[in-house]
Amino acid sequence: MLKNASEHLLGRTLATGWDVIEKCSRNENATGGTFSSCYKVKKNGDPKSSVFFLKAFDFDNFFHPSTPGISVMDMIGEMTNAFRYERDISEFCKNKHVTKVVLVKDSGEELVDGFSIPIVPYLIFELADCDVRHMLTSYDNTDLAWKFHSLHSVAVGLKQLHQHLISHQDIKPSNILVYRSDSKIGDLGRTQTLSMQSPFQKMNYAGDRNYAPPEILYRHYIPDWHLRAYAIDMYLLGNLFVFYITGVTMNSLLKDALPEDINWEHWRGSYKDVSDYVVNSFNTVLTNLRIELQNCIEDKEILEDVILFIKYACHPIPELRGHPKSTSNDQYSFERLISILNLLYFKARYRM
Amino acid sequence: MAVFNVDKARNVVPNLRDFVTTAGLGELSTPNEQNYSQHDFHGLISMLNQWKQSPCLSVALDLLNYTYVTNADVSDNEIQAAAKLVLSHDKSTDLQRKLVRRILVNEDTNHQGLFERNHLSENLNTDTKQIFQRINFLKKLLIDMPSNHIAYAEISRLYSIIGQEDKSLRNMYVAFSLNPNNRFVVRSFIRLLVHYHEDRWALSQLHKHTDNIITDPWILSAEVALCTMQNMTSQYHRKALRMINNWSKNQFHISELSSALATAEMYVGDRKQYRKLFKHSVIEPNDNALAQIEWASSKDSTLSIDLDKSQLTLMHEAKARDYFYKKQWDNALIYLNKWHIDQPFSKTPLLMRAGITSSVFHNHIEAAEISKGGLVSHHNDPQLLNNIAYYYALQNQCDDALSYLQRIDQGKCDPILAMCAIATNGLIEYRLGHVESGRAHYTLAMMKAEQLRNDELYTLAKLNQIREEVIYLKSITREQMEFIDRLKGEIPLDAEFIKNEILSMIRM
Repeated sequence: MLKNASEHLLGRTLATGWDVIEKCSRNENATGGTFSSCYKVKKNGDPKSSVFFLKAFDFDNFFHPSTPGISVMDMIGEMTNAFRYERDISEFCKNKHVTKVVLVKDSGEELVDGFSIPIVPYLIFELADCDVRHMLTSYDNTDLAWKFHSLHSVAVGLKQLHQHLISHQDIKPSNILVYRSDSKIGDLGRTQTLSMQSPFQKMNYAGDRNYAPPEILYRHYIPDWHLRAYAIDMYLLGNLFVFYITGVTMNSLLKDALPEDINWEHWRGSYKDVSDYVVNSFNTVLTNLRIELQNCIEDKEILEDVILFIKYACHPIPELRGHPKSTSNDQYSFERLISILNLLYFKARYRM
Repeated sequence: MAVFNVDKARNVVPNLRDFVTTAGLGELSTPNEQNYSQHDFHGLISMLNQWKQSPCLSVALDLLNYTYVTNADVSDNEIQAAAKLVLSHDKSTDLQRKLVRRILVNEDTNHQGLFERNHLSENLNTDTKQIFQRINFLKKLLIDMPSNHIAYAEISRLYSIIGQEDKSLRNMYVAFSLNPNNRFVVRSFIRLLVHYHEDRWALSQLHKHTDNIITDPWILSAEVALCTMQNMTSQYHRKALRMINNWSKNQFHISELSSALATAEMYVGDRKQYRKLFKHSVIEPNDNALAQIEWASSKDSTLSIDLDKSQLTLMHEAKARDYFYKKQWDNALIYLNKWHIDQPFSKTPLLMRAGITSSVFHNHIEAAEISKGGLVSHHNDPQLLNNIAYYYALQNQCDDALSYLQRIDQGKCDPILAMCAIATNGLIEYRLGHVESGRAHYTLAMMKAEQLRNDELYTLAKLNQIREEVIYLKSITREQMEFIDRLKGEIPLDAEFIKNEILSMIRM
């Protein structure tokens, strides 16, 4: 019997009426788990149909687990949950008119005969032009207006998710997809919400730890879900902002500024005990960034707003993160940050 | 005559260093260590695949940021290729290139950070421009975060190096007010106030505002040292002893506390207890505990230890004292210089360096120059001024000597210094050829030493006068010779140097 049914969809017309027209290399154009294959698809019988993106889940891979000690049944369960959750959360967002997030256009399960596991579940998304890293071609910030516009879209997307009590948890450059002039957040697979059982619900943090906020890197646990999850999203937006502007993440800058003995790799105490020192290092990063960016952002007003944005969004203490004028009930509201980004966009567009 | 009081009372007051160095020495780490597993950064394969498919600048940067944050293996060919792309790309920025270099030389401790950290150079004490630049930078930090107490403490330390006492104290007090429980701030606060002889006030502020004295051994040790300085027994003395006896965590965290308690016990003469505590303090010592046991070993030779066995990289004071007591002068000078760079506001290494340079190597002009370096952080310090005058007088530069001696504010002199200044004046008079006036000054100085019941100072003044008489009369009297012969056994090092100098002159 053949293996990997998900690898053999090219040329087929799916039961849901999609023609699979091209196989994409892994990770191209979209995010997603390691156990998936990607294709470009078109609606069958419609010559004017746009091209969409299909992510086929590869169940067969789960029968050859690379992680010893994990039961196959558990892994199948995990994958089924992941598929169902991404489909359902996307459907939920669609019904709530979330516009700045890449949503599932269609989904289904294809029966492919001749394989040991003949069922291939799949999700279909709108096809993006590229992920944002392909647009970030220069860091002399001649395209600053575009960057602010893109970040504005990401912030709006996060605000829309938060309005419906969803925390994205995995904002990073490869998850920001570009559609002509617009940017959207991709990969709802790692989101957490209280209204639905997410596969990662029990995790302190579900996203990529490379971009994780310092409290997560220092293994600090905040029991309040809202505080924890929304503070993480805000930091991730700030981290993305820093990457857009400098090509270096806030985590890299922080790690460089922290004395080795007290960085997250070596510290073995509580976050409370180290937070003063992390804040001092963050402060150093901010001041150094201001000096560094003077070379490429000549407009002082824009530069100050950039530094302020980073200060609000990336503050290492979760309780102090967010715009200072936000109310205590709505500390992690993106409203004011969106306004700053909007203003920055217009200033950059007309002044620079 | 010069005084460089190497054997003066020493207490285990915390060292005042910059934040990065202090953290690097492990003094800010926590005793309450928890067993964490390492983070599972599992995205490298995916990142490498993305890079292989799209080898562009931003993807390279994304991969390199990942490599740096997660400490991934940089020898991977793809990571090397990404690094090469960033280094050679015409659109990459300085910051990005610095990140790449930082990743590629991660093991190199002499790396440059992504931003210039404004590390101070070795000629710190004279390079006030660099210190002001650093202060300026730290003040910029406070614009962004006005409650950054660590920045205030750093500014205070820098002001202390250039001798701006008021600004130094003011900034340190702001730091302490903002966070009287932060270990770095509290220990810096105490050290600075001891430096400015405000130890009584430091203790009262500590008792009033700091909540974690009894829970943090690093703060408790400073409290015990402060009490010892004021001839008091700490109210936490017993609790501190109990803490040491029950300590089951990393011994490094109680090395200073053990040393502080040992010193307190040494002053009250409980030999059994202080030996036990000193022994405890060097199980896993910090540099301060090592320096303290080196000092204590000059009082009780059974305490001497072999510093070569220590793993510490920064123990300049301990090494300097060790070489000093062993009379290995060249090595002592090297470590005294390092000690001075490490603690630029501290007078002791300068006094000792100048003392050795003058007494052992007879280079009085250099000794005067070394002492003058101390005037940057100690404006018009009577002890330094007296010593400079003494060294110039020994070189027969009496005008220079007088100009420095006249700068001494008698109101700021303690009785010992006042007596030394009279003796120095006597030396200048001798060298100017005013022998009678010189004799009168030395007689007065010795009388004052007798009033102070200070035999060491008396001996020192007497020897200085004998030397001048021998130079003037080209001979020595029986009474003077008898005095020198009576000096047997333990005499202060500086007295021994002068004695040897006189004996060699007689032989000639």
